[in-house]
Amino acid sequence: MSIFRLPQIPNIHPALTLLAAGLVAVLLWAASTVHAAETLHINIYGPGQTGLNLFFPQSRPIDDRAAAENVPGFVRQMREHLENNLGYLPFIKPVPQGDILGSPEIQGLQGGRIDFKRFTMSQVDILLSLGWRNEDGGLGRVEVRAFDVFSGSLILGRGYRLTSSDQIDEAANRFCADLMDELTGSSGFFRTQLAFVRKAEGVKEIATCTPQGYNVRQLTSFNSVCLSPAWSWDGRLLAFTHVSDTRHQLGLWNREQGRLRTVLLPGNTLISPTFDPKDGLVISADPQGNPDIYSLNDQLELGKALVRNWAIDISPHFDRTGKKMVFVSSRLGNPHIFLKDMESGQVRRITYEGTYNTNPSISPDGRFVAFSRMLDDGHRIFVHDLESGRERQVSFGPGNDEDPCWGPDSYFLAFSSSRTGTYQLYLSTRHADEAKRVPTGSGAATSPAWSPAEE
Amino acid sequence: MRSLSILLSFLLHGAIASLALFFPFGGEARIDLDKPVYEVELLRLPQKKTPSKPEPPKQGPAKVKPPPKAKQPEAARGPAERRSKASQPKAVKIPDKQKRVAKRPKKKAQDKPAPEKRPQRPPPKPKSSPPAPTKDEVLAQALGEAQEEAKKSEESAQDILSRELASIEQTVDRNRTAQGAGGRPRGTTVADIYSHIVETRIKEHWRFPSFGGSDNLQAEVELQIDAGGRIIEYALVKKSGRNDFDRSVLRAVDETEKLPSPPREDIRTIRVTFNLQEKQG
Repeated sequence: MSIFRLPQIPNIHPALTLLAAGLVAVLLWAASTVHAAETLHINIYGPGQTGLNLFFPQSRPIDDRAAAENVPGFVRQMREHLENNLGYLPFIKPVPQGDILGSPEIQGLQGGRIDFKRFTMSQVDILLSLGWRNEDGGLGRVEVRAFDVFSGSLILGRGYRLTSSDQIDEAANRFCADLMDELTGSSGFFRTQLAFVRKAEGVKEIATCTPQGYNVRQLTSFNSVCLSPAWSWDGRLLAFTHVSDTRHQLGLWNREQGRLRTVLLPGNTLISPTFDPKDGLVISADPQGNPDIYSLNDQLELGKALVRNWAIDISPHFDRTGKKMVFVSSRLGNPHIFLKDMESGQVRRITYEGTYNTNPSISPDGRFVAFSRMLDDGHRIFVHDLESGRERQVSFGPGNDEDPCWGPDSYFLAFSSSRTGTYQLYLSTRHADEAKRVPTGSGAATSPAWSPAEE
Repeated sequence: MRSLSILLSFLLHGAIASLALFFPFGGEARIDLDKPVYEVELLRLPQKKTPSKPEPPKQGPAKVKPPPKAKQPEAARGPAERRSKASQPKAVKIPDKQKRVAKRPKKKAQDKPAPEKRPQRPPPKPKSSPPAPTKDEVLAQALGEAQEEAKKSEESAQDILSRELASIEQTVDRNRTAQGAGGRPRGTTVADIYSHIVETRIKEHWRFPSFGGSDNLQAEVELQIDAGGRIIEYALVKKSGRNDFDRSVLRAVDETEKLPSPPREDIRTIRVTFNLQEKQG
């Protein structure tokens, strides 16, 4: 066995030393020329897709031994309500069964029994499962779960014991509210009401419904004309204008007491009441013959003028802090939108385009102003960003799109449109998502007002 | 002597090994990252052949410019001064349009002659064919047509080339003018181009609700790629504070799976910052 040993060199010639040193230098130089590993830094601004893909497989019995085929009616209704509710959220994209690789069925209701890989490969983001069990003394029990497919984790799970069929939409609403809260941090949509003007046989009355068009309820029966509903910031009062035979009145509906009252104020016209989060009711009135904007005192009498001008000033609307008020003024000849800083008192013009800009609504967060602008082919809804000064058209007709109104989340917009020939309510968002109709029953529906979210 | 020969042998082997390791034999093209490169619209880059395509035409823009077709639209447009510059037709956005443009001329070449010739030819054919004895004539005619079509298609190809080159030149000119006097050329490096491609690839897989408030959530993912661009490892290195946002960015990277091969072998680590808000302005 031989062992290799490095030779010992007792006396090395100077030339060799030089050669070795040169070689080492060359090696060092060469090593220094090799690139050091580089880390690329990349910024991505905004998601490529603004929706989440949701798949809702067939419902299953909670008890595996039960027959999965005999799905009870209350479960089918629950599923319909859930699907309908989620259809109002533009950022939820339903995935059809055919797009799922392999079987679209799930093997169980619990996360541990679901093979998420198939759904991951089908680019599903959220998987919804609905389980049911018949129970004595009621309809039965439903369990709804939402899973994050990528991580296989449970986003939300809720169980509801249903004793009557009118609880089904409430259960679906609650689940969707909680799911929306998990996904966006806001649950407002499913915990709100829309007030609107319903026209039937020449009479206009105030009615309410959920944003999906459930529980339509008529509040007034004046057999005359009611206009411009507006919710108080706590959602307890609803103000509107009542046009009687002789003059205008301020109408007030107390939600808790279910009580209606009307108030007479000086002048002939009372237009577009609204609520200032700090000081209560504000309205456009004409005690001196010209509509200006006034606040009302605690006794519901005209108080100080917030905007007084030779021109017509109407349609006040406040943000959540009460620091910003938008309104319409004809002080420059044509109706335009103006913004008043309630602390400094300064008024600035918002709209410069068009010759007829009306119905302003400022988002609760105070950033966006929605309004309707008359274009050649009808009125359209625009959104003005107060931060950037940019303006964006968010409705596209046909017919007229009017009366925009913000949801409490500053994201959804409700408006009325004559696109089908009759004025109906529609929902869109500040991102100009496709407008979805709110079914409010027979008769025209206009002037939506979005309530604050219930706690 | 023995020790000397061992030392010499050691040195020789060392020298050969170092040569083999570090001498640039030309197997890989070295890229000078400081050189300015054409700034192009990356969304429309043909990602597979980008490196090879743009290079060859560089030499021939002057030759390619002349084709008459490119001049026609410019002549219609405007001043004589601009015509000379704009023998480069209007900034055609590059490769994607190449494809589009490449398709159009073909259609035109087929369509245009058809309607023109059809009405003319059918009448002569019945008249001439019975008496016309000649297969040769028919052949010659067919050949002629084929040649014409070939010419047209060549012209159109040249046309496209010239347009593309022109637009590249315009872009370069724009870059130069944008640099202003005295400024260091702000060229786009190969790494920049690769970054844009990576950004586009990952972004298209990134899904997150548009509900967004005014918060600008930010999360950072570091990913390792192999020489083929495959994502072999990734990790969240900076959390946004919201689990669903963090999950969405990890999902985007996971779904992307593979990126184009990196342009340099030292690019193996990519750090991606996901911003919820779109870039302003």
